Amino acid sequence: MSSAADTESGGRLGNINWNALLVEGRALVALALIIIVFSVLSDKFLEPDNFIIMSRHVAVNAIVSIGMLMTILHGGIDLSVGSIVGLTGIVAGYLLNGFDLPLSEMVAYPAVWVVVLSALAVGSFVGLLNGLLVSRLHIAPFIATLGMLYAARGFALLISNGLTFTSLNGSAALGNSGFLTVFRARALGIPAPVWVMIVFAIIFSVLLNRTPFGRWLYAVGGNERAAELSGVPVARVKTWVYVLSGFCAATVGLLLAADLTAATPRSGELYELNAIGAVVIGGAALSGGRGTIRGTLIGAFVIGFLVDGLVLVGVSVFWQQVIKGVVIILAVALDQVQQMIARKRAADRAARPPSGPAAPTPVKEVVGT
Amino acid sequence: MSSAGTAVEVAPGAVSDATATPPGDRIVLRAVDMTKIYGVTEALKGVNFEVRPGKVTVLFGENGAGKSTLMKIMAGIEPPTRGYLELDGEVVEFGSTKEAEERGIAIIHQELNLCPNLSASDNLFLGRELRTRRRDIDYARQREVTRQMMARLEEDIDPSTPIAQLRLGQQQIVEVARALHAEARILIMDEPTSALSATEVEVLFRVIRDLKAQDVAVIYISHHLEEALEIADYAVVLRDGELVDTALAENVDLAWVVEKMTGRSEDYGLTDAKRRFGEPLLTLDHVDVVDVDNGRVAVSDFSLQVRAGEIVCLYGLMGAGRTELLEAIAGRGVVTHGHIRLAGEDVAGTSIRDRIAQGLGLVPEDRQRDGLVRLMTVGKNLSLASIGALARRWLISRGSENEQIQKQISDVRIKTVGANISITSLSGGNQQKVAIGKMLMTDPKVLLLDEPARGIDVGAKGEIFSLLFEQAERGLAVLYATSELNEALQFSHRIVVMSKGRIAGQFDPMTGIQLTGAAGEDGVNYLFQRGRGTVAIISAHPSNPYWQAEIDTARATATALGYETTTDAHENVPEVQKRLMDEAIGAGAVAIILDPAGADESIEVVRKATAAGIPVFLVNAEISEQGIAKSQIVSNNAQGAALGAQAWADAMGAAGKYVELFGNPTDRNAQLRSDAYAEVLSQLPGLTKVGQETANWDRAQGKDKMESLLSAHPDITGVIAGNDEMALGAIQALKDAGRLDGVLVLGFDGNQEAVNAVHKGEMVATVLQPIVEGTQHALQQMHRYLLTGETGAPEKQSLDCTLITGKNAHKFKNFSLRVTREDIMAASGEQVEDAVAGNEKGVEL
Repeated sequence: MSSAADTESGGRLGNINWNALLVEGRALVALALIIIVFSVLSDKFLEPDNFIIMSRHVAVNAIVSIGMLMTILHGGIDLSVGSIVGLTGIVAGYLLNGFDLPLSEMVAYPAVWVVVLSALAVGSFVGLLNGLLVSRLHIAPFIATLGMLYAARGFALLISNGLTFTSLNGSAALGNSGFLTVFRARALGIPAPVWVMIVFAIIFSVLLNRTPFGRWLYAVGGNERAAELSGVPVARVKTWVYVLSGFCAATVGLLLAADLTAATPRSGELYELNAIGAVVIGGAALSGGRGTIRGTLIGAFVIGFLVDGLVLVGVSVFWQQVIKGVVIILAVALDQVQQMIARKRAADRAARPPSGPAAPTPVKEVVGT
Repeated sequence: MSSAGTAVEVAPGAVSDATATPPGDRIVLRAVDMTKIYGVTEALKGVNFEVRPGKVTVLFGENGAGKSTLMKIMAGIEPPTRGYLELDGEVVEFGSTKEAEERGIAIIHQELNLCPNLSASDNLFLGRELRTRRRDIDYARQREVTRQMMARLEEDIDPSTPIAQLRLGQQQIVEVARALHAEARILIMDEPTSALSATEVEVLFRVIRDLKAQDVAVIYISHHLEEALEIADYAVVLRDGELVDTALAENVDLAWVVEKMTGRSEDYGLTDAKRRFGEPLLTLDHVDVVDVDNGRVAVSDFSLQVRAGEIVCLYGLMGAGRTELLEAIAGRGVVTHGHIRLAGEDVAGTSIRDRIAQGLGLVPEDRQRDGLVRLMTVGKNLSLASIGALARRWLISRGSENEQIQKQISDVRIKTVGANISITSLSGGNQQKVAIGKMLMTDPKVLLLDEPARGIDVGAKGEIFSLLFEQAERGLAVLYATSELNEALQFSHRIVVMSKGRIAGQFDPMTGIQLTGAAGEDGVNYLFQRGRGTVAIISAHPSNPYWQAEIDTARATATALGYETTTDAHENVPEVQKRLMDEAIGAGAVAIILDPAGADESIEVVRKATAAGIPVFLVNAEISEQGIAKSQIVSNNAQGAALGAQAWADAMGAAGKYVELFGNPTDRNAQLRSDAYAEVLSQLPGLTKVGQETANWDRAQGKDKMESLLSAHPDITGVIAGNDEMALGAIQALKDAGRLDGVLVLGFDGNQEAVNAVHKGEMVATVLQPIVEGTQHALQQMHRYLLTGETGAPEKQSLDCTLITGKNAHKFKNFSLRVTREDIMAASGEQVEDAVAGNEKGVEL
């Protein structure tokens, strides 16, 4: 971390400021609490097998959440991710089952890599449409992606005729086998979705923290007018975040289809809400400009562990919903408290006569030079 | 206010007690020791303010003076940091506007506080809806009352029209109606007329007079000073959060208000260096800009050039179109006509991003809204505009980013504990430096700044402008907008006055001289033309070409600066001078330009005029006392005479007999010149002065005296004269006597006939007195003094003379090198470049 931040918190390292810790690391604290509570309530909770299962569940939400974070950072939202998950799974299922080539009697069975790329392309394209609606037509993100939520789901149903593609195996003879092998693979005992989550987390962290695009995204979310006047290509940034979100959702569509060994047009429903929950618990501001990959991951773990833990302990489905809702609200409420404290601290600092290195040097010296 | 003996004596420049309050009248509301601190800025510093029923109290002050803050506290919108309000002698505390309203205080906001989606009548009753017996809203009655209010305000607005469909002025009327309907005892109007037409303003004033008759206390704030003075009973001036003065409006005028508002400014000495500017970097060519929000033409037919190293100030009031223009140049906003060129290239069709890449950056007016990303650190804000350029391939190189950030922090002197702290923890001034530093990091050629000093303290203001001057010295072209005259005068090389989307005029801030245009539009001219009036020019001998040049120059310069003139001559007779001065005082001249008749004889008349509040500027000659006249500009007679004497002695071969013609003995210059001649010539033993006569500067007397001297001393080979006229008389005498070939004549003044004589070889040399330059200086200093209360120069000024001999005589014309009356007249109407170039030439001289 920065030297400035170090000096700022340095004074408090000796006697830990519990209040600050509780507020600032609240998502992490919540996660720890969930783990402790559930491991007490159920001895199965911390078993490796259960842990891996939970992690796989978390991963699916986390990947969608990473995409969601992109859109929320610019001050928007992507409600269509769940539908994109469904649509891309269906596209993959459709292609793996072969399709009639137009103007010929032949049925085409594209190779698995073609299937995967096509599905990802479709997801990204839907994202691109979202992006163009938002950035060029200036449609409110909520509305644009709400429309896309319906439209993409509709297309998924149209393509599959409302049915489920149950055969995703392909066959060696047709040269399209391996989809399940790849997406259900386990390396080091850890399932593919978790690996994908890790890889995405790293890539998107770099994207956000180390590239101009990431900086522009935070700036657009923080103050769009200032960003524009600073030469940030605002429209381009806005378009791209939806493409990225679509891409993330498409990836999940493939993982989910492989996991279920079936592509159903209804898969991914309500994923957008879990993703928003994860992003928000992770400390992002819905107004944009604030949020991190790390926080989002923690948020996804909080939601995932909470839901799975409740199932494990045997809490009724109805109560599960109530508890999930309360946790989300609590997380955001805590966030507000934290910001109020931060603002008050800043105000106190400002009201105090400046001292130390912040003390302005006498004006005369500067004017004279 | 009508009670006898209560008038507060106020004269422009008079120092009065800052807390003095005119006695008389009951006080309904009193703010005591009102102090408001926002973060690190002290917006109000212990202000004591009083409001009287049935009177209009006008609050004057520049942006950031604290007017609106004071009003917000009085209306319960914000609590004071310290101090309290006294209503009818009882200490009150308002927690909200509602509480203030209940106690009879209503406010009309500067920013319209209306819901555009609701109708006029809904807005009028918002929060205090009329109810029927069934407790639902009584729309019919609301509409009826609205209709009555509109009739009273003589505005044809249907009560059910949505606010969004009304034009801005009508919206303002609704806002006024809303406040009126509250039937407040104390009504605060913060800029109620900014969008009103002249007729609407008249109606509003009539309403205000009605309110006064009903004993309502009105507090009125406006940037339109003349308008505000018209309605004012009391004038209160705030400056930098302090109450500067309170006066009865009938006792003060615009000059007083502006002087109190602007105050005596800190002099940063930043504009003093004359600079040479480079090529034009920003060229606006007949640019029209349309405001995207409302389709209004915000800027029309705007042409301007800003050159490398030049700092141009765009001065104008709110709504003049400054922001729209700057944003359009930066790439936001719609340019419907004309061209914007950056270093010669048309930028039409390029984005903000492209223009930044080409070297054009804007530091916007509202740094919170447009300038900074509050959620980002100081460092990330700084690098935001250049982060794309800092990246190699895909990744930002953290090392070079930090390096650039650190460099910028030290370059623009941002006071921060580090680059990684939140931008919001910096003071306003330092935040502004970040906004500027951000654009400087893009390495711009042209930097646009909109109100760069808004909301920051005086010290930071100096720092920011000295930063701009530094950058300009390195070749940056700067164009900034301000609505504060002091800023414009102190921190620019050129002031462009903008009014209603057009250039109203251009000024040189050093001299106040108008370069182009006629700044004639309402809000503007009081600032730049408040000194305007009649200048009395009192010279010596109108028939003498030397004084003719002085008169012509004075008249032409004064006209170019926008003054009327009267001219007269005292013929060096002190009694005549006294009469002329009395006439000028009686006629109410704004200033007197005087060529004094006698160094001692003129002291009294100058003192008298100064005591009458009329500044006197002396040209050509001085008086024997300092501290009365504002300027005493003379030619360096001693230096000039020494030059002439040396050249003449050289021509004489440092040997021979000569005589001297002496000027008017009451004129100090006559003695000065004679002494300087003697000092040079007494060193040369070969030269002998055989005679001296007084010829009173006059040609005929010069001829007569010369004839006598010639008969008395037939063997002379030289004549030194105190001025050209006497010298020319001597030459005539010598010609008549057939002696011109053998006698060398020296003149002084450099008048045209003498220059011709030098050219022809009849006169050895003459000395050019910079009468044209000196008179110009006097007029420019006068103008600056009338604008700012300072001449910008020491009182005693002596300008060096130039020797004219046969070698250079052809270059001189009419007492000057090139700069002539025509040049000055032309400068006021022609292109700015030419005028500035002309100035520079004048300086080279």
